[in-house]
Amino acid sequence: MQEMDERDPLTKYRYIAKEIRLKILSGFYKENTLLPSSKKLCEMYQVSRLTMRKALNLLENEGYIYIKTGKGAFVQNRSRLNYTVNLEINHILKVPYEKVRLVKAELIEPDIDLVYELKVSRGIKLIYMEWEILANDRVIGYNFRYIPYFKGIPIDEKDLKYMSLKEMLHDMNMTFRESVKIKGIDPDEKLKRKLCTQKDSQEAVILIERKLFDDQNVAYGYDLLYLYAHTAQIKGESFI
Amino acid sequence: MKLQSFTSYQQVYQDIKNKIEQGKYAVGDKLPSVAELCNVYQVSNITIRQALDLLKNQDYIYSKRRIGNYVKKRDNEIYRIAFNYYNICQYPVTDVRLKSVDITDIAEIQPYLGDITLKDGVSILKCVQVYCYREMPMVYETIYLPVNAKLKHLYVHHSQLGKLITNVLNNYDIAKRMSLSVMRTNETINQQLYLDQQEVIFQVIVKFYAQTGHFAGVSVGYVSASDTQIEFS
Repeated sequence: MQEMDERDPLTKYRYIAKEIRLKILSGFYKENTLLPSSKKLCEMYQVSRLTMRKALNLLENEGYIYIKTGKGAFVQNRSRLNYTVNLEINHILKVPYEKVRLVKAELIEPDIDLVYELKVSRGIKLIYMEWEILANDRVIGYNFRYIPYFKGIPIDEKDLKYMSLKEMLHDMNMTFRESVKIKGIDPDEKLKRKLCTQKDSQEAVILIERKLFDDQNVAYGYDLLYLYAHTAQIKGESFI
Repeated sequence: MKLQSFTSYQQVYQDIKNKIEQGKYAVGDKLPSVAELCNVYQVSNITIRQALDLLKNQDYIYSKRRIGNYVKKRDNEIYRIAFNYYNICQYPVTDVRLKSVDITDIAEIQPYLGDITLKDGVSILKCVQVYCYREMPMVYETIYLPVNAKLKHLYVHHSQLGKLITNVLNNYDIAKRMSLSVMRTNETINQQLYLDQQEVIFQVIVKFYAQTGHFAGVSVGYVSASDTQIEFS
């Protein structure tokens, strides 16, 4: 028997769908196995058949389960549910970049936004890096990166080869948790200047934002990659 | 072999890069010599060198002098995303509305097909859906399926068609290939999603394949970037 949180603003069937989803994602219900019958599920969650029907419908639409007529609801294969996506820069770009130019590398004090994003204290110094990504002698993208400063990271410009955030921190032999956001944005004036666009240009920009944390939730890096929308495409595959 | 880029050295680069990524050339393996590669791709020595330079620049390979080129170890940037319209929208999807069902021809989906070829004369079922939160439309999706007898039958009596199509495409033996890009809205999408002029949107193209590798359909969806969060870790 499961207690339902009264304050939970979700409707009943959404709440149940969420519970079952968690059980699927955590592996409590194994791939390709039969879920308990809807009658049993009704008893477990103390709800009517109709509510359960709605919850299962939602899960089916989301692709977490599939229903075989006359048999019941099965848990979908994880590999089918997920897309495998390679976010390496040359995988995203339709035509690979030609070169990357380091525009700036310096030690900065975080401003209020960075303190918020990275959850660092104000006293700490950050290494700030800026790269221009070029193809056909045109700027097609911009990469900003912030790494909390600690000893062992080179800040000599010649040593700062362009590599991904993960590769940069690879030598530390730590396991990181990474969170990634993909956004479509309308560039503001500042970004337009960086990307060398005309003021009236209508070009949209894709932003890939990554943060690296260690297991204590201490931030180790913050990476913002802006690419012109027409140069970039994120591709994913799901296999059977 | 269907290659995407224009110049020949980029094509060679792309192909070798793909082979490295798919593991046909494993980490630490020696690549074929320049002369051999010239032979394989039927291009000149200079082209191959340009391609190899590019690969070196992008850190895919490194060279040992007088010995050859080797595949370099890379930290991978591969992620798994559980991606569908139900979990990227900011508000929960409460309703999926079937707007229209038509039969069209191949020409309409040709731009989305890429390297897939279909038989001429195959008719295509076109099905337009809008995902809503209450009364607010969030996603505008068009699904195209090559018509077979069963679909044709359903088309005639089409009350349940939308649901059925989604179920077919969510089926356990359909593989998917997704591509996501960012663009500005156009007239049709503006009207359907009540967006402002020039708003930034995501275009999501999903191609469906049957287990045999046959093309099973394509879905083209648009969703406003400001209502959307694609997030994973």
